[in-house]
Amino acid sequence: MVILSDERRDAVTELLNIGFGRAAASLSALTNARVELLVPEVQMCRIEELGAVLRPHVSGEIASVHQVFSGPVAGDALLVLDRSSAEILSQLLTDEILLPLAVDISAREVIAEVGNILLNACLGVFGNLLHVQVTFAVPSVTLDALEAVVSSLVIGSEELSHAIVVHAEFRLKDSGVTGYLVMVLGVSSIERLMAGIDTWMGEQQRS
Amino acid sequence: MSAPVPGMLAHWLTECADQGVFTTDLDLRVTSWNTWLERYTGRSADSVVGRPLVELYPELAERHLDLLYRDALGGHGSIVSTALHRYLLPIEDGSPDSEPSQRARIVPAIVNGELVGTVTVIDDVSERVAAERQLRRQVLIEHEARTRQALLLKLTDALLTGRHDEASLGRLVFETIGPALDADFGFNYRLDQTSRMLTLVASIGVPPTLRDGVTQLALDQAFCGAVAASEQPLMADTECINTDPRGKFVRSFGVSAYACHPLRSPNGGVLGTLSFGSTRRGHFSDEDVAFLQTVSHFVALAWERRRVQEALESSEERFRTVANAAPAIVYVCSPGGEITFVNEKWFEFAGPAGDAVFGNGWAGFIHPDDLGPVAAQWAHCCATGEPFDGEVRYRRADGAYRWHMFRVLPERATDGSIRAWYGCSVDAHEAKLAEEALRATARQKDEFIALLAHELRNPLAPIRSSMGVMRARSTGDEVVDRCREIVDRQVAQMSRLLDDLLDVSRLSRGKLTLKPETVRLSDVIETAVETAHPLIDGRGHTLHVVGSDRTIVLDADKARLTQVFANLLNNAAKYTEPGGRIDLVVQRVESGVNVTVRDTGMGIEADLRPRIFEMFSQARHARDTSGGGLGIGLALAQRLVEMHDGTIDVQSQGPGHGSEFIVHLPVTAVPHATESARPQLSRETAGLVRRRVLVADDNADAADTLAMFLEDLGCDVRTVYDGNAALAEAERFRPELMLLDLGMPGLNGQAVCHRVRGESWGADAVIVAITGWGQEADRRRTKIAGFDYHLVKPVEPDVLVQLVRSKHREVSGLR
Repeated sequence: MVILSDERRDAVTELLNIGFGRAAASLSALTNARVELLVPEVQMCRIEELGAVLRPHVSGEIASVHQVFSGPVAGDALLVLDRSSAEILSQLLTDEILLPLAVDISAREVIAEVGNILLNACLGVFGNLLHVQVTFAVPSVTLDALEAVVSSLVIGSEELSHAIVVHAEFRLKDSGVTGYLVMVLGVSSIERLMAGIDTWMGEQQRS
Repeated sequence: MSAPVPGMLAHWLTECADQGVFTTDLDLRVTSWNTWLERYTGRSADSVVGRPLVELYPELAERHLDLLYRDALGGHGSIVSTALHRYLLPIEDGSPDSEPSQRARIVPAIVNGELVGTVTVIDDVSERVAAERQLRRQVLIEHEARTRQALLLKLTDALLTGRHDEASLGRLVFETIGPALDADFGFNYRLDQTSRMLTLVASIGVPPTLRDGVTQLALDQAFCGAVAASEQPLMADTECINTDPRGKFVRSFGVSAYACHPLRSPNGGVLGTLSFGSTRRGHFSDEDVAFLQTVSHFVALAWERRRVQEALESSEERFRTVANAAPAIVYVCSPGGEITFVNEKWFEFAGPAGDAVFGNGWAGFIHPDDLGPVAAQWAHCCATGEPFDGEVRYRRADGAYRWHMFRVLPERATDGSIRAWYGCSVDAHEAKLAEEALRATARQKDEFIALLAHELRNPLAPIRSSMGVMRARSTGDEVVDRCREIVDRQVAQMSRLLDDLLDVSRLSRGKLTLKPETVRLSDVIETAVETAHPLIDGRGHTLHVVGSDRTIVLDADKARLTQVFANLLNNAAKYTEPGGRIDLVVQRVESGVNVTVRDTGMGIEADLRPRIFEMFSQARHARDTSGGGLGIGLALAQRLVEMHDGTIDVQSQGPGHGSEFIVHLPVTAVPHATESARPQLSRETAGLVRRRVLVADDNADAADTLAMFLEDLGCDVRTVYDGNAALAEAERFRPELMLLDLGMPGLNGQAVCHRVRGESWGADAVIVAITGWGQEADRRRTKIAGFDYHLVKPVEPDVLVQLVRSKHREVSGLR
């Protein structure tokens, strides 16, 4: 059982904060609007517990940006937003009149792009940390119930998996939208990541 | 370097794909460019391959999209969404409409696990975006409609209740709907109907310093004036505002879109204008204009409503003020009779407890004796809508009851139903008490007069009887005879005066009733002439009776009608200088008969004529000439004639020209052919009749003189002075005729009569009551006691003669 100690949690938070910073910069540049991403809040759980962890925060139909990554560290990365948050985020970014997300393909594309940027930034940070090349598929957006999304992740995982759940709060145009970054990693990937983090912490202390 | 893609797939991607596909090397130089892109961008593969992408499309760097290529070289795939970027590659065909909508994916190109460059795939999604745009527009329109509806709802309360005054309503309208229309300026004018000037009641956006310039507008001044004058809405876009001279003022604020609507009164005409200006729009949409028109209608309605409400409040206030100013209790009741309003006067009267009067609480303030009838009458009026009035006692704060006169009238709605009752009660306590006292005094006076007349008549009876005796036994002394005649005449006159006095008192007490029968007018006149003859002769007048024939028959009380003409004749005799002429003329007229009594006397002054029939209104100077009288004869005559459904009028050419009294009576019946003339009775024709007569009276003088008169007639008379003696004497004497005084000590007249009737010998006797009381009730009592006749003192000698002569009980006119 891998335990996310306080030290490791702080380290993960710090690393993700770097990714968040890059993502916010990219989003701001691409949308010509000041986008902020607040300091992430991190927790880790077993994949079976993921539904229980997310349920208090998101409910009903959710929009999820799903990206599979591969390489020495492999897994699934998701940005999960409840539907209204997804709609608000898309509207804030585009200034378009909102249509229901199910028919608004353009809005779903925006969510996909935002998710892609955020996931790329965060996974990129971990790739750099481990000095490995992590490659990503192009993300897709689905609208589904939380349970359906979670269960597809559980079924898809072949080995004992863990999920790192990151609260990501977007701030733009005086509004805030909270989404959840979920990284599902197999035991070997997790151990490799934790080892990399321990090394990084050692380097930080030496420097 | 060629694309590292299997040949068939490469061919498909190049030649057939419905997407743009191009690749770059690690330096981001284009390595392949498919046919779709050649067609789409207008750039041939030859012209682009080998050249750096950012050199071909410098704006990619400007738009930070080159970052995505760096990410791709870092192994990350990226999405270029249409909504955020519109497109990846511009189309340089110069057409402004042809800005494409693209979606792109930029991914690393990895061959055999090694990164060799990037792959970009572009979809043209223009059609999809256009469809979405259409949908968004639809949603926007619906959203705006909903927004306007919500705004109207938000305003509804303020617009329809009429609670806001014009200024606050205007501000509310501007603040509520201005933002939705991007309207940063608003003007709300009221049109003064007399001066035809517009006055600003509310505005928004106008700095206070500039507002003075537009506080008042003439018709046709600025856009608002034009709208008020034409009564038509006016829309101005940027161009119109910039060119129209009337737009000068709003132009100075930078307004670029303007809409002004007239506030149309529901009753026709324009009440004012409502306008909006925007510095952010070029024009207002049709939907905006329609919305503003609706708002304007509502504002106009609100104004009208407020005006009506104010008028109502002012009218209520006026009513309240008038009601409180009234020196009477004023109240308003619901159609069902519950009190809804009382004025301050009520509380002055009833004190704080007066609060309980509302609803049906009024009943608690009514005197218990009055409540029953008042409540019943009020319920009746509420049911029928009849006015409600009368007199009632209300309880004052100190518990005392005070008489009030009240009157309550219904206010009706246009459909005739009762909307409310308005009532007024005036304290009439003093007046009521005074009236009651007056009535009591009048009653006492009438009773006193009745008593007086009765008591005065008692001594007359023996005097008359004595005169009868003296007349029968003439001394031959001329002086004595003349003195006797004078006394005789004066007694008759006094007797008549007392009769009049009694009658007047009966009249005023409502106790005089007629006993109508079929009578000949000629008989009436004959009797009246007989009655008046002594005075007429005494004053040396000549009397001419014309037209009195026996064919005219009336339904009348003979005695009373006789009294009327006797009074008129006496009157004529009295007020005419001795030796005058009196005419009595009978004339048949339509619907009746006129009897005119005309004299050559002193006449009547014009101003006295209307009052001649009033009680005690004898001509002032007449007293000196006529030698007395109470001035009641004419009043009595008039009342008696009226009781016979007739009229009496007076005419006179003025003082010294004589008078004329015209009595009009309805004629109802034809004469009865069978009716015989009344037997003419007089002392001369009576002859001597020997009958047994018993006279009983505790007034010995009266009894004795009556006995003397009867003995003169040849009767065998016994005289007694009390009831017991009368009964004993009757037992012995068995009289054919008994004359009994009623008010005797011991056994009274009624008892004597009753006992005599109980005896076998007493059944056939003629028993006559002789009394000072002549009321109907008195007569009824004597009849029940068994009397045949009821004679009122003093008894006329002629009647006694008639009684003595008749052998049966049918003596007409005595009962």
